[in-house]
Amino acid sequence: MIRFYLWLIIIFSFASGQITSQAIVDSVKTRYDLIQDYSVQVKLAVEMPGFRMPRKRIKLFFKQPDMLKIESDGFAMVPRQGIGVAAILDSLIAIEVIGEETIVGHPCWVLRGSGGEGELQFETSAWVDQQDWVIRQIKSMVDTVRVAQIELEYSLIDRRYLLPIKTTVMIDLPQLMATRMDHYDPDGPAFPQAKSPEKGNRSGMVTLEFVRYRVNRGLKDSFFRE
Amino acid sequence: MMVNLVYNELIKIFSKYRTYISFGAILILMPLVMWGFSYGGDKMQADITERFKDSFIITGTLFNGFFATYITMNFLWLHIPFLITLVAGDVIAGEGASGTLRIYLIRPVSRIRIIMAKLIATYIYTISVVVFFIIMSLGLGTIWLGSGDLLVMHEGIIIYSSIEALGRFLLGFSFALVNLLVVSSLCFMLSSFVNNGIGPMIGAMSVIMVGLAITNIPIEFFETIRPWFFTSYFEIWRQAFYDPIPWGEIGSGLTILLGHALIFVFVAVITFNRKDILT
Repeated sequence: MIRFYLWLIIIFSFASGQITSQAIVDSVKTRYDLIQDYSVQVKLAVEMPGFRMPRKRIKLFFKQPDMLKIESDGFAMVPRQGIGVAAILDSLIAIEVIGEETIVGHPCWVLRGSGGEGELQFETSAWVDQQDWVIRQIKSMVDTVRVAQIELEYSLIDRRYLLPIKTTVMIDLPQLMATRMDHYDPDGPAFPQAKSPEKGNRSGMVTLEFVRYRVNRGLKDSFFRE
Repeated sequence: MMVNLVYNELIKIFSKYRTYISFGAILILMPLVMWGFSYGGDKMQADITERFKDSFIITGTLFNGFFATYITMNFLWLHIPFLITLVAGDVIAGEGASGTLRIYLIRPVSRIRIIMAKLIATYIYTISVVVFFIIMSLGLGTIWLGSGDLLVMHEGIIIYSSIEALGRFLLGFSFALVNLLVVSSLCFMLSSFVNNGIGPMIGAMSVIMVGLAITNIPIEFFETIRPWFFTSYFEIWRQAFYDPIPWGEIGSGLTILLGHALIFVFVAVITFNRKDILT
């Protein structure tokens, strides 16, 4: 049924000439709006210079439109870009369709929009699956330099909901975070002969693996306020 | 025989009120620190994580007994050496001042054995202070604030799991203990020179202060002698929390520290053996 509505949107778009970015965004939203709430266990692994965290298991709860709760055993830092990728499209302006590309065997529309605050302006491209209407890949650039890339793998949950089972967030630190990390050393070198950290290529990767989804089980608002 | 000598020395050390000053200071300080953390911890966490809130969702708490212990170690390892000198400075000179050393040496026990017994007793006292500090920081902290991951700030952010953190603490405390044993040895050596317990204490403190000045003042001449001065390695315990652990630097640091300790003990033994005990 949902595919019927999604194709209806696309057919109307084609009927009016060429497919529009708005039609693609609407299709993606329709797909994601099927999910009112979910809970999922997340295995989080961080490989990032200047940031070391042991592998974590967290439990993530989500409810539309933007309620989020994370339970973890101990302290954890979860990259915002790794969860709720659909919201990234909402944060972009002047979205346009720039072409088509195949990502891991999935034909995709390539959308491009801009976002950011103040001096930090970036351009984001999103690869939207032409058949499943989910985001397969996101890439953010500042000028011509990549600052983040998100790759998503999906699986059909409860035979109905297409949800990510693995999200890989690749972050290039020099542009966004490296300076913050470098300044974050109140200890300073302990020894006169201590070496300064290398300031070369500082790319990092965060992997989130999602298991045991429980979708549309009627999570209450009060649960998120606890 | 040696065991009995050490036992006698321990009785002498632990029958003096001043021995308990260091334990008392830790006993008063650590609950205060834990209390402070339990009240002000949330704000401190907010300050630390503020700059990452844009990029990360932060969950759970950093504030536990491990973090409180790590923070406390940062400011206390400069002060604990002063507590150690209270006993180490008195162990030989104190007996000289009270006039018991001459009678003690009448017994058919070699001077080497007596000084080694005193040294071992001093080291046992130093170890007991460190163990007490561990109990009052890690032990009390874990009971009061709970355990969990440990956040360390060194060239970025490092978060250790609780098991890893315990291993790092074990290493860190071991390295810190080596430092304190060097201070004990220094004070012990100064104690062998004189017949008044106050002199070695003030002397050791002065040497540490001068050494710390050499370590921290950025003058070119100091930089050449800095690597050879034991106070340059006062914070070697911190390296136990680096990732990866710089074993090479730690190895050379510990070698220099142990070298200092050996020299101090050697000088103390020679001095004590040749000493004309007049009181």
